[in-house]
Amino acid sequence: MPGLFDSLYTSTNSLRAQSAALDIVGRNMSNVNNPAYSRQRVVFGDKGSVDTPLGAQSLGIEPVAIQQMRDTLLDNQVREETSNSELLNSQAQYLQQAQTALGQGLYSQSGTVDTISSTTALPAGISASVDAFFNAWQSFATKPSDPVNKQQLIANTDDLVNKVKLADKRLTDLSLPPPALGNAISGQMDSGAGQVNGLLTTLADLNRQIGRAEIINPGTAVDLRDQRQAKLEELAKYIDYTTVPQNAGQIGIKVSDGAGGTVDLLNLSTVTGTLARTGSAYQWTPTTGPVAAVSFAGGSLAGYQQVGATVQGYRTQLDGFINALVTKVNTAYNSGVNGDFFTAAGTTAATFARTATTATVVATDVGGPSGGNNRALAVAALSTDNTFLNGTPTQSFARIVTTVGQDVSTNQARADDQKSLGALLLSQRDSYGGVSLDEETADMMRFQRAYQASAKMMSVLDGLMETMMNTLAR
Amino acid sequence: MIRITANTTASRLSADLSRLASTESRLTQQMASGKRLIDASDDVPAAGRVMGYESEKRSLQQYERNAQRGITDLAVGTTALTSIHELASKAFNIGPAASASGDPAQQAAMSTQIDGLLEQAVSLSNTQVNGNYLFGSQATAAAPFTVTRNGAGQITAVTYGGTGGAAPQIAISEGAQISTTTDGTQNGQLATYLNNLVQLRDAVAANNKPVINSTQNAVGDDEDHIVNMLSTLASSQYRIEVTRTQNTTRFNQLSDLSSNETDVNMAETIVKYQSADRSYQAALQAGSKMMKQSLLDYI
Repeated sequence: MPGLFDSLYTSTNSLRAQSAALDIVGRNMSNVNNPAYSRQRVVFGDKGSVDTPLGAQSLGIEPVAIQQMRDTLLDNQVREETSNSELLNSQAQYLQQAQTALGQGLYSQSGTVDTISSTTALPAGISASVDAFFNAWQSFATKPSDPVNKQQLIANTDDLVNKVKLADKRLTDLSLPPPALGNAISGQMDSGAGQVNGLLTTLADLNRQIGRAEIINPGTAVDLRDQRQAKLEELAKYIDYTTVPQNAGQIGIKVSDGAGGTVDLLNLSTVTGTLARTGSAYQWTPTTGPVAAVSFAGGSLAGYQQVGATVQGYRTQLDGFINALVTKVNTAYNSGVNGDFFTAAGTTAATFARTATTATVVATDVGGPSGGNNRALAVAALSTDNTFLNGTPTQSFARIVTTVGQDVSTNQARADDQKSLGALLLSQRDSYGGVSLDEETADMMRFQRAYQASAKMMSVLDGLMETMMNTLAR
Repeated sequence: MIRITANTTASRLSADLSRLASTESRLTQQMASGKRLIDASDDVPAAGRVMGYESEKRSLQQYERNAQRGITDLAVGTTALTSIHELASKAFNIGPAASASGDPAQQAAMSTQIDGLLEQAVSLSNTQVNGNYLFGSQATAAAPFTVTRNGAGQITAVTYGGTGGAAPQIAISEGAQISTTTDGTQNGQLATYLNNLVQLRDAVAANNKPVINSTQNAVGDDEDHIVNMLSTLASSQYRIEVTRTQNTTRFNQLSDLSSNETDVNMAETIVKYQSADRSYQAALQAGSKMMKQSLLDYI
């Protein structure tokens, strides 16, 4: 039969256990607004038992472990969806810029057929400038000898050339491969690669600390694991990767090499090399061994790559449009004696240029009648030529604008869906591992009462012992 | 049952408020600008249609400008030819009187009168609009009718120096081109008329009755040619007016179509805004109430 000292020992164990539980409640409450934190709880266990004539008697409870409420599957899903979200978000930002770069506003021109409102008198956007260019040829055809018409034609041509060049310059800043001095996209890729290198270093350090802490007690470095998970999710914003469990709670990080193989970025507490951009691609330069290509399908680094290639596609379309314009206008204009209207070699948006001047531009063949306008009419007729490229010139340019618009719209819709999915996953994870103040308050009261009860028990035992001691003293 | 934590409530409320604020911002922008479409991505098919509508409207405005210039040429040309026709009628009527008169002084006066008509007709034949000669067909830079004069300064011959083929054309609608002046063949007949006047003047002065009679008949034929030229111009003017009406109608239709695509339906947008605003306020009230409640308040 247990004596008073045994009971006192049991109560002491209970006080220790409730005190530990209250400590965890306090930690949970203090981390209520820490998104990287997963709630913890104390797992109580029996301290053991002894055989007595009355049977096996418990020695009381003790906290056997601190359990972290973390779901690895949810963590991995959050990480993967973070990569997917950032892939789309980084694309959305630059696709929107590409749309702006084209400078094609949408408006309904006010006024009547014979008046133009003052606010829309100047051509807005390349589409309007294309129309203004061909309309200037119409005006030129009506009065070939009128110098004002020639001036208007040259001015409208320059307006079109300048707008196309400016749009191409803006698009160049968003496209890959970048120019020799780099551009906005390559700058983002470089910056992102630098961030990845920094995060890998931090993760290596956390791996080291976790390894030291868990070499004897696996799974106990819960706070360090929280920190590592937060950094892994931050890394997922830049790249997609897979983690590999390693010794003593450490993890390795691998990425695809784009050819069916993998490249180790992190092994235990060692970052194996450095990530950098080369042209439009990324490469991993290991501390020892050959440089390896790495390929990402998620995260902002992949987003920059993909959007850069997409914008380059827009540039190619714009170049195709300019090529058709230069070629067809020159063919219609140049009879062999007139010379070219546009610089024949300038068949890209970047090299687009005018050759003719107010002094040289003619409405008919050089040497022809002063009022002749066959060449001007032929150029003007291109504005309604359905075989220009993808329909008429304006329709062909509109195709580029709507292609960009469609990409922006589709990307936005995908980003919105992804955002909803991400929010749902975070909600699920929060539901499992997040801190509820009400729950913690209830636990606090529960452990407080248990502590009070054990303390009361000790007080009673103390009274009994005092009674016994006083009796013995007499 | 899903477990709701402190962060779940806060993050969901934050996300919902952000989404509603974004909707309100977009609707406010639409109401302020009156525009439903800002970028092509707002409504891609509509953007493609609007660009097409606006491009066609700009073309129609150019056709209108072309038509206005054409109308000016036609009006000036018609006025000049009408005057030339009147001169031809006068010359035609002088012929019989000169033939009947035996008075040399009277015949000399009539000859002088025809000479005046001739000078006037030559001047009208070289009519210009903004520095462009109307009756030279495609040669608009130089006077198409040049004269040769004798020692007394009288015109002895008129030569047509314009081009002989079709007159320049202008576009007045998609696929429709029209000449606003007469062609080289008709202009050449004008030169014939002027030379007939020279011959009539000289015949009257010389009292050469057979020549007077034959030339008078030729001038009568010239009148018919001038009427034909006037008919050509009138026909062009009619075509332009009809096309202008069609262009105006089409422009107005396109304006309506474009406006329907780009302009916002204000009543609908205000209702949407009010709905979004109510949701925003409700989310704020419900969220703040939920986040304010805690078990901690009861211990």
